[in-house]
Amino acid sequence: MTPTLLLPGDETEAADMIRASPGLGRRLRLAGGGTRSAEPTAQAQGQPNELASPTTLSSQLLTGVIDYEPADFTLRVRAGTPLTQVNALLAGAGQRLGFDPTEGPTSPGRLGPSTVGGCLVAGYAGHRAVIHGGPRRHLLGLRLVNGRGETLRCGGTTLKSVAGLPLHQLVVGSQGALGLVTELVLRTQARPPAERSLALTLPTGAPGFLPALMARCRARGLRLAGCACLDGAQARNLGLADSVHGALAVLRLEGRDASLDGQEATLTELLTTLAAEIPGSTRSRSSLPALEPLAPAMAEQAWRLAPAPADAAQGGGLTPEPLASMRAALRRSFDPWEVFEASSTTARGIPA
Amino acid sequence: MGQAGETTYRRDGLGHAEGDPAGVVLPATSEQVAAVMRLAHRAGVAVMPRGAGTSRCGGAIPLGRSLVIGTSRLRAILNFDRDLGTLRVQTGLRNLALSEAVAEAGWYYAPDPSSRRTCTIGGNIGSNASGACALRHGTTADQVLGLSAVLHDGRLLHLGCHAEAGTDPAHDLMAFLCGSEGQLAFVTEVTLQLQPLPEARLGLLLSFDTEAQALEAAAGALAAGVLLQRLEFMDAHAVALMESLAPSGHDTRAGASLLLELQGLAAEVAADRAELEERIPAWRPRTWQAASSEAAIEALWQGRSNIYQAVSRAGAFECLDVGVPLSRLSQGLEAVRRCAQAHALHHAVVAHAGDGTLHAFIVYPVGDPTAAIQARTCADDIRRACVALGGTISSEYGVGLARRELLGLEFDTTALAQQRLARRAFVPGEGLNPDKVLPPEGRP
Repeated sequence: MTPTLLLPGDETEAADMIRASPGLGRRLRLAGGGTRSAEPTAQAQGQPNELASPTTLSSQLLTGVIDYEPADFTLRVRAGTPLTQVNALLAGAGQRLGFDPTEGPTSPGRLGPSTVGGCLVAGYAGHRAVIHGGPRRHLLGLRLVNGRGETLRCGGTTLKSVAGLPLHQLVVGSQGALGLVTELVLRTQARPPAERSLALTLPTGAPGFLPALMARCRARGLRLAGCACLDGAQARNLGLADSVHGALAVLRLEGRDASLDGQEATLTELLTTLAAEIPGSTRSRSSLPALEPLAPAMAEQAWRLAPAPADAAQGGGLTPEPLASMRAALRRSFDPWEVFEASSTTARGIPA
Repeated sequence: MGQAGETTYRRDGLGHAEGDPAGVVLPATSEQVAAVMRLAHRAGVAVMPRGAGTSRCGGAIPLGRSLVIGTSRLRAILNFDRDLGTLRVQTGLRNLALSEAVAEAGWYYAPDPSSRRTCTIGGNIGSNASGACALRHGTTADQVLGLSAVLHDGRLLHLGCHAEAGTDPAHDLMAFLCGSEGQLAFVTEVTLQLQPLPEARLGLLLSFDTEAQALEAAAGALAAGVLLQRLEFMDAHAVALMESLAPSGHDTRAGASLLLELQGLAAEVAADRAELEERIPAWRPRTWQAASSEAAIEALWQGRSNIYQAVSRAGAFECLDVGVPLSRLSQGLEAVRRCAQAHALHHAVVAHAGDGTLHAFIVYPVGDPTAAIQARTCADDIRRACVALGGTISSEYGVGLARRELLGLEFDTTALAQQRLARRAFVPGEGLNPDKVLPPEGRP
């Protein structure tokens, strides 16, 4: 019987499996740890009907760090390496990933721990993206196996490179439609020596408060290293402020210890001004001992700089048709025989 | 087209090559660009987008009898959200004009290619341009929140925040367009993220006996995690040239200089300054000075800001934008020295020590065509050496016409074929900016 979960041990084996697929009439759904996949994977389903559910090809066994020299501020790693392992390695050198992906939620398709490749392909970032940008900004290059079973390098290996067309950018958020990512080159950053998180009770009936606060912080140069808005139920579930009736904003500051008081003073000043401007708003503040348990919830609610989308009049042009046909053409350029079936995803957070 | 105009549109910043445009059109709106491209498509005429023509790699030289579509009349500011710090403009606007337009409201546009006084934001998108500030704020692609582009056949594409509400914003395609050197579409409008003018700044200029010491200090500053806005290395040759044009306080007897700048809230800059001042003695600089006022900081940058002018006083030059891993910067410098010596040419190097970009200048006598060819050969030798160090042929300028044949150093035939195929999803034929970036098929 054709195996329903394929776990190649190296890039060559992965390429062989992909090349063999059209001949076997087999379609592949690509996965890392499957932690953000909305569909049950082959394994999770038990004995699936192959026609109903395509075979899963996972990069889970493609693990390990290929090159990490902290002074380079880059990390070259195999795509199936668990996130926790990457985070631990970087932490040991006083560094971190800039886009703080968190361990994926429990999902129907879970095969194992969240992988670094899976985060990129799902286009997943956490709340730090508010100042550090999403996964795109931190992805420098990658290797992937396309639908023809060809292994190719996309993007660069250094912190800045503009040689050739930036194919790697197409892979971020592609949900496995273009190929199996086998290696990534990621930017790393120095871990700030200190951080401070504040919880802020937001009044009900002032939905504009948080966006206004974020804009003021931006304009003032106060770099909120995270911002999320939790509703009353979410806040209570996380054991925060059971008296919260409205929403709870969680704000994170980071930097050198000596600068945190100054940053908090600036934040207080902005809050005071804003509270006076928005009628009926009240506020209270409390320091949070640790933010990490909140990270997944924060990622779901993370804020990003987003000007109002264009309305039809301003757009003035054509609508989705050219986009859909171009997307299809691009996909065919990587996968002419439609070997890959893009998975839908449960990933939430900063859109790619 | 007048004689002068014709010459302008044949050439760009590369200097030694020229094209053969079928004509020049200067539209003023996205719709006019679309109309021209629709007509050209029907007539089977290729088009080439052109900004200010500052490309150093022939990116703006028209090939294949292309019709040049210039952006010099696409200069409108369409929307400035002064609360959110975003700016929607047409792409013919100059890079520096963006910052000038928003300064009174307390904002600026971060990417700072050295040609920012003349280069356009459209050209910046094409080459995903950046300069020293990329260390802190990233490249052009990292600032783009939305864009509108015309496809080869005249259809308009609205991406990111330009997409209608509820439709696919296609952030992936938007990112793919940034750095595609006009190979995929003609970008006519863009919405950019701005940065707030800083509450406090600090400039530090340090001189060292050796290049190795300067690089060690740069690595130390990066590891300290301070809010570096810029981190520039200059070798002794560059320092000498810069000081003779615009004295900026460098020690001309030193082996190398390091210029760094912090920006942030007053509390942050003060804390970072204390951290750095604690570390500086261990770096053993010959001399060092700090500047806090805007005028004093700009004075420190005077020479570095005018490096091209400074070098041009020594002769004609080839300028490179190679990149290497940060830990191999010293090997990159050594490669430059070795190659220049092999060709008996003078050189000077400035480097973005925070991202590994080496701007090496290979200097030769003005009006000496043999030396010019030799300098280009030398530059290619340096590019090869940097790729061998795990680096890139281009961190900033792009591939254009002049580096096509070198792209195979970084990408094998399969990878190049995939780039070609992906391009065809946008441009099925050769109707847009032909014969650039990707080497001809069959030649890696």
